[in-house]
Formats: sequence, structure tokens, C-alpha cells
Amino acid sequence: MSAAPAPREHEVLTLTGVGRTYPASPPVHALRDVTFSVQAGEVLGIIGRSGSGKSTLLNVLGLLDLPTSGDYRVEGERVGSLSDREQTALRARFFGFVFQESFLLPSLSAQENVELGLRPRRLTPGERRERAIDALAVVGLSHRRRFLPGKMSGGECQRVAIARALAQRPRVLLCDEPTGNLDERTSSEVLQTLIDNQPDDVAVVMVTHDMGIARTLPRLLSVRDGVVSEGPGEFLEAETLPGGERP
Amino acid sequence: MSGLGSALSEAVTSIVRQPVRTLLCALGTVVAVGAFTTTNGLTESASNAVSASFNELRATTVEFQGPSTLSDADVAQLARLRGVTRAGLVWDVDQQQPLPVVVGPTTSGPSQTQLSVTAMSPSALAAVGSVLSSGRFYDTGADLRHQMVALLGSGAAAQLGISSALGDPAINVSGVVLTVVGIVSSSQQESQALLGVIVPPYVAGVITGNHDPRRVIARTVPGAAQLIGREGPAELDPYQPGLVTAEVPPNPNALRSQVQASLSTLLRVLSLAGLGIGFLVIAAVTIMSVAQRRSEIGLRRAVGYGRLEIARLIVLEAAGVGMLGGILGASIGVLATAEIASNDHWTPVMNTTLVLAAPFLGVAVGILAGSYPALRAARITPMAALRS
Repeated sequence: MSAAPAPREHEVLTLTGVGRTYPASPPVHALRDVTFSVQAGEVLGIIGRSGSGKSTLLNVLGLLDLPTSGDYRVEGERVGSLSDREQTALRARFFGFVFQESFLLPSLSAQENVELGLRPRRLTPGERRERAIDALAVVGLSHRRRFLPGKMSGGECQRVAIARALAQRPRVLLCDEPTGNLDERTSSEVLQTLIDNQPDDVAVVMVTHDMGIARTLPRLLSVRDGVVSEGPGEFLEAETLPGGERP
Repeated sequence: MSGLGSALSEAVTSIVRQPVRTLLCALGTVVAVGAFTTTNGLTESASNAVSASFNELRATTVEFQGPSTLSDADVAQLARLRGVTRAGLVWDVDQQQPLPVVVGPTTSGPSQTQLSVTAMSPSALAAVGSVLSSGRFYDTGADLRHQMVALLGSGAAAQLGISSALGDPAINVSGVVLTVVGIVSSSQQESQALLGVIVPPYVAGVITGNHDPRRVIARTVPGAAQLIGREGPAELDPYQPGLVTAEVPPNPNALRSQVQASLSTLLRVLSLAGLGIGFLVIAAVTIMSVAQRRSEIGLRRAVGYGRLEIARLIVLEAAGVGMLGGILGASIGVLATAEIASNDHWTPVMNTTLVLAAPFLGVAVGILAGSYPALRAARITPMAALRS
């Protein structure tokens, strides 16, 4: 790994020697000495085999998990020194998430699911509704806003999940295999939706198994046994990485 | 962070949009509050019915126990007391030892049987509320004229094979021949006398001598029993009132309080049991619900819900379910009380404060039962929840 990059004004995420070890016998080192940074508006792909540590890396980046060693800063603020409440507030303000599962609540309509992501904000119900409608329009689902998830296809559900993340107007969008459960055609539609609607100043960090998708991204990090390297590394020629079979 | 209003609207949405889960969860509170309201209503109604139809005979009868020297003259002194309506002497001849009784004038025969013999003055026959099925009562004149007569209780008459006093059948009691003048079919007091022979005081003296302790049965006007019980011993035996003891009916007010206290204890036990069941059901269903909603909790944590907001959401949902259960339970309780009370011809009596408080009781149960699952939910890390 390269040495810690010098902080720049547009650097939003900075990791220096970050490690994540899970207590077990023997201890599991999911991440080892990770050092890289993410610039505002940058699109970054993370590739690696199953169990290599890429989801752990994404969780650490999104403050869903905390590093056990090293220094992680979000816009220069050291997250290790924040309380749980402060981390939650920072996560709500700074990050948007798109997971492999859409995690839509089955009893809420598409619009209500998008609004759910806005509830922790100090917004009026009217503002929440307006933002949700706008976000659904961006992903092309205005006509489905009153539908329950059970009445929508997998691709549509995932687009609602993208709308939920976009409506939060995050500074960094973290995507963990966002098209992993979709067929090729739907996958490409969803990905296009994601890339096309990403505001210029929003960084996107995407974990993927699909080298076809990965090759379209301007920057790649590869993860192997918890060690993060710049570039595609050994996966340059692969089509789909083990553990990333399409449905 | 989202305010209480937003959390409330989310809780209401969750309750309304998932009716099956809500009803399952509310079932415990419905049972608990329903049992609580019904038990309370039935207690109130029963107390009302008990005090209204309290046994009037028992409440107006005083029984005195005294030595064998007590006589009709002493009873006459007692009967002069204001509040006494009737009084008479009663005693068990030969201390309740059964005596040989034969039909006919002979001392032995095929129908010989052992029967108890009770002595009753003519005034006692009225005081104990005796009713004849055949013949007549003996009177004071018969006793004064030393007539050898007797009454048979209906049980004894059946045992001796005497169905009627018509023709004045004779019986032999311990060698004393008596004429049966009547058959007593029922007695409000002294019902055990129906199983034996009832004789006037003179006849009792002839059979066993006058050594048996006496009892005096006094009927009073309603409300006078306590006073007569206090003053009676001095009237019956002015020189040694301590030899006479009175058995008075319990004070109706005190008795009512006792009945209410007993019913209240029952109410408390049943209510607590019901509430305990409701608490456990809500807690169990909420714990299951939290387990099923781990990914939802994880997502909420990821988008910025803090631990407090998650806990508040779970508690508010449990409180809402509790309130729903409280309203349904109270309604069922009121209807059940009205139905049961009307079936038993009682006037339904409900404590309105309790009925109105029932939904809040449900809320309290919901909050208590939801607190532990809420704490568990708040402790779930977003990563662990999303991974599940």
C-alpha cells in the first residue's frame, strides 16, 4: 500500500493504516493496514472474492462498523473519537446506502419507503414527501410511488432503494453489490440509473463481483485477504469473480 | 432527529398496516383487560346482589345457650324486650343421644329405630319457622295439661312409616307412649329436628328429666339482633347472666365489608393473573417481532435512526397495541358483565373510572412489556442486523 495521502480540500474519506479484527480464536483479520482516500465526486469500485473483506471495508467506510486500528476520517473528522450518537448523526448526514437486498418495508408504499430514509432528518412531512417524489421521478418510478414492494419487480424495488439513498442527498453513496440479485438486463438498467443520477459532487463507492461493471468504473481497488490494493490486480482478465454468479 | 410526533405516526402506521401482527400482539391485553373489567364488574354486581338479598331470617335470629334451669317464664321476660317478635325454648333431649322409638304403644316391635328427640316450647315452634305437612302443632295448653303428645319430623315419619297424623298414631319413645299430633315438613331453623321427634317441655322432662342445657331461639325485627344479643342474657337469667351466651348474626355492614373484601381479593388475584398473561404475551410477540424485523432495524440504523429512536419506536408500537387491547378488552368486559349479571338477575354495576382507565392500563402494560424487546432492538448493531 502507498503511504497516507496528504489531505486535500476535496478529500471526503481518508483511511490511514485501518484494520478490522474480529475477536475469535484465532482472531479474524478482515482488514489489514488499509490506506486510501476518496475524493468528492469520485466513482470508485471495490472488487474481490467472497470473504476477502470488501463488505467489511464498505461497512467501515459507512460507519456501520468501526475499525479496530488505524485512523479513519470523514471530511477530516476522526470517527474513532465520536460517540455512537455522533456517528449515527454523521452517517445520516453524510452517507447513502444501496445494498444487495433492497430492504424495502413490505407494509410501506414505494414513496413511504423513500421517506423512511428521510425521517431522521429535521424535515417537515411536506418536504419529505416532495423529496421522495423527486427521487422516485429520477429513477423513473413516479407511476409506481403508491405501489407496495410486493407488487413491484426486483429491479423496480432496487431502483426504489436507490431513490431512498438519493433522496437523502448524501455526500458519499455506498453501494454493496447493488445489482447482485438482478438479471443482466435489469442490472445494467439499475446501474445506469445509479451512475446517471449521481450528482457531480457525490462520491460513489461500489462493491461488485461483476468485472464487466468494474471495468466501466474510473477507479478500482482490489481486496484480497483484507489487504487493499489500487487497481484490478489479479482480477484484470476475469468476467465474474467467484461468489458473484448472476441469477 | 425525528421527533415524538414522527415516531408516533410511524408506530401508528406500523400498527395499522400489519393487522395480523397487531391483533396477535393485542390478544394478550384483550384477555387481560377483559378479565380485569369482567371480574371487577362481577364483583361489584355480586356485592350489590349479596347485600340486597341477604338472608333476612339469619339476620333476625338470635340464639342463646343457657343452663337447664331456663324456663318458659324466663323466655317470656326476653319476649317482652322491644324488638323481639317471637322467642321459645329448645333443647336436645338426652344431649342429642338417639333414643329407641317404636310405632305403637309397645316398647319393642319390628319397626324400632333410634331417633333424636328435640324439646320445643310451643312458642319455639313458631320462632324456628316450622311448617306442618299433616295434623297440628301442640299448644301451651297441651303442655300445661301434661298431654303426652309429639310431633314427627318428616324424615323421622318416613323412617317410621307414618305418612299422616290422621288418627293420632302412637309411638313409644324410651318407654313413654306419645300421640303423634302432627308431621313437620320444614323448618327455617333447627332443620335437624326434621329427622327426629319433637316433644313439648313437659314430655321431655318425663323422658329424660330436666337436666339438659337449654337454648332460646329469639326472632327480632330487622336491625335489632345485635341489641337483643347484648341485653338478652340479663333478661333470661338476671342473677347469673354470665351463664347465658348469645350467638348473634354478624353485623350486616361488617358482613358486607367482609364479602366485598373477599371478592376484592379474588378480583386482585384474577386481575393480576390476567395482566401478567397480557404482559407475557405482548413481551413474547414483541421479542419475536424484533427478531423478524432485524433487517428493518438494521436499515433504519443505517439511514440514521439512533438507538433511542429504535427503542422509542418499538415501545410506542407496544403501547399502541396495548391501548388497542385495552379498549377491546374493556368493551368485552363490559358486555360480559352485563350478560352474566342479567342472566343471574343481578343489576350490572360497573366502576366507570376503571372502564375508562382500561385503555391506559393497556398502554402501561404495553410500555412495560415492550421495554425489554426495545432495549434488545436498540443494542443490535446495524451491520449485524443487515447481515441477518
